[in-house]
Amino acid sequence: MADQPLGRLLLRGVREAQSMILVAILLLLDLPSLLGSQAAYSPQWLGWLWYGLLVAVAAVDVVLGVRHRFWGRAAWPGALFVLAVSTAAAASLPTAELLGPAHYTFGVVGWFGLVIFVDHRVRHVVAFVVLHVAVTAVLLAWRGVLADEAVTLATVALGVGSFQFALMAATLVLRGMADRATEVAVAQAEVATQEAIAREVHADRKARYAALREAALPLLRGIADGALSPSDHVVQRAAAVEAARLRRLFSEHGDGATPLAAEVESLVDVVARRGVQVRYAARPLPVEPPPEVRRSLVEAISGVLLVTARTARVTVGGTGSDVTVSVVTDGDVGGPVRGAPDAEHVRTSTVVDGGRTWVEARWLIP
Amino acid sequence: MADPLAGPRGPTVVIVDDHPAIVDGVRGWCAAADPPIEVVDSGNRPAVAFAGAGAGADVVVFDLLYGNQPDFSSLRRLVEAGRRVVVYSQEDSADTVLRCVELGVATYLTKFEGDEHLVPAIHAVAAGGTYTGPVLSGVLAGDRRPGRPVLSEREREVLIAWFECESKQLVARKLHISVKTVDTHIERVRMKYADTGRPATSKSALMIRALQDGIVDLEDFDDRGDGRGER
Repeated sequence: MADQPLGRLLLRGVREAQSMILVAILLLLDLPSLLGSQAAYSPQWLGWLWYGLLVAVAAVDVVLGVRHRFWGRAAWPGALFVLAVSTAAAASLPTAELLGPAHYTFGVVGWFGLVIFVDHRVRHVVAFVVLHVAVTAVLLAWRGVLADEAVTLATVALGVGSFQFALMAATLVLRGMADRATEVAVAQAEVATQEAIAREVHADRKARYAALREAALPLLRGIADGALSPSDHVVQRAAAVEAARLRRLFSEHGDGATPLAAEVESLVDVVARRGVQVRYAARPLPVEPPPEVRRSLVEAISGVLLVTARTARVTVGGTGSDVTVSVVTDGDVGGPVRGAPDAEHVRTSTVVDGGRTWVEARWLIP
Repeated sequence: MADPLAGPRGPTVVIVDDHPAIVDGVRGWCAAADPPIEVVDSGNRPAVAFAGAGAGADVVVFDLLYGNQPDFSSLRRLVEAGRRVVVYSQEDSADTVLRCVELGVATYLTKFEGDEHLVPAIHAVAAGGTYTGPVLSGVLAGDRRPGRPVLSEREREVLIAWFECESKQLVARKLHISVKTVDTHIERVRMKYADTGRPATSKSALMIRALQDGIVDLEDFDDRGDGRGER
């Protein structure tokens, strides 16, 4: 059932049908032939030996079939064994009996080929059948009767072979249909997956638009109706934060950064566009913080980062027990740094030294 | 190597990097360093560090990636030959950095870290020491592999702070310790990593180590093609 469940299933059905045909031929056609002509074999038990060996191979095939297995690598050894038995049977017959009912094995070998090579390409079966006819022809030539019997050989070979090749053609058609059906099923599953993803993305966007409505729209409305002044430092900062959120919203298919790193990166982008030199580094996080913690962490650093004038070092990282975001800026950050909103397990520390301001927000993983 | 008649001289380095612009940039930094660092040779393949003037350099500045492939086996040969290696690479994944540290490189700097780290690193390494830049510091602090050295809470704090602010003054200020103590903590972490030998007592451990070091490739064990007919 590996990669082609449907194809494999059909193949197994074909295989069971062929096994049944083989068993039926061995029991209903070949056994009466042998009973009627066993005198042709000398000694007589040889006829039974060859028949027994063929029945044994068919039994192995039935056992494999019951276990849902194919001949696989054993196919060619098994097929050559059948060929050897058939050839030995022919060799133990007098020349007159060749191509008569006593040489029933000539007819059944092709069916063995179909069964044994069912999961192989058709050229294996064809090669096997041609090899069998060739070996029989060589035997006839050895007995010096090939010229006389060539027409009979061809007739018998065609008569038996046409059944077998008809079944083979049917198998091929079935296999093509199975492949096609599998392709269609895979394509349908793909479409369904894409739909599910699209639904998820849509729901996620709706949730984020809701968050934007809460913050971005009142801000824009306030600026539009003059309640908020664009020259106000606080308004500028809020606008930059919302702009960063919008950018994050629009850059849906980003570079695969984690949500926290992606939000910090969007802040970095905003200030980098203003000409601030930012050295940004992110290390893998032990866990991704929940959304409200993420918001607290980002807002803890956004205030100082957004008013940076020249250079900044920004990092996202963590150890096994915490997640930290940090900003170090050169120069005056211009006005008081807005305090971070409260969130559980988030601690913010600020160090000012030699004109530099370092703000670090740390979330202790509960 | 140093000529006693020529007076005090700076260390010598060989630069192995397949980007000519990086080689020229590092040469410029070395020339401007104090004391100046003498670049005895440079080339775009590791061979330049094994032969000629490069073989005698005090420090090897080694780019890890050639094309897109990291060359761990050359790195291992350099370290086993007792060379002091500064890996200077654009690659900054924790796995790669930790692997190089375990191989025994003196330091690992990324190309985002410039002369303010590379020059002190070369000086420190030439004097027989190690150097730990912010990126390496962040990687060591975030190391969560089983079997890693056990770091104290303080050591981890120092590593994280150094990674975050790139300033030992700020680290000292924040943690209320001296800059010297900051260095001591970082140095102690490096010693812990150096002491974590990699015992390879079993065959499988040896094999894993050989895989890690790039001596053998997983593809060498790939058993492909069983001759089944269908697809």
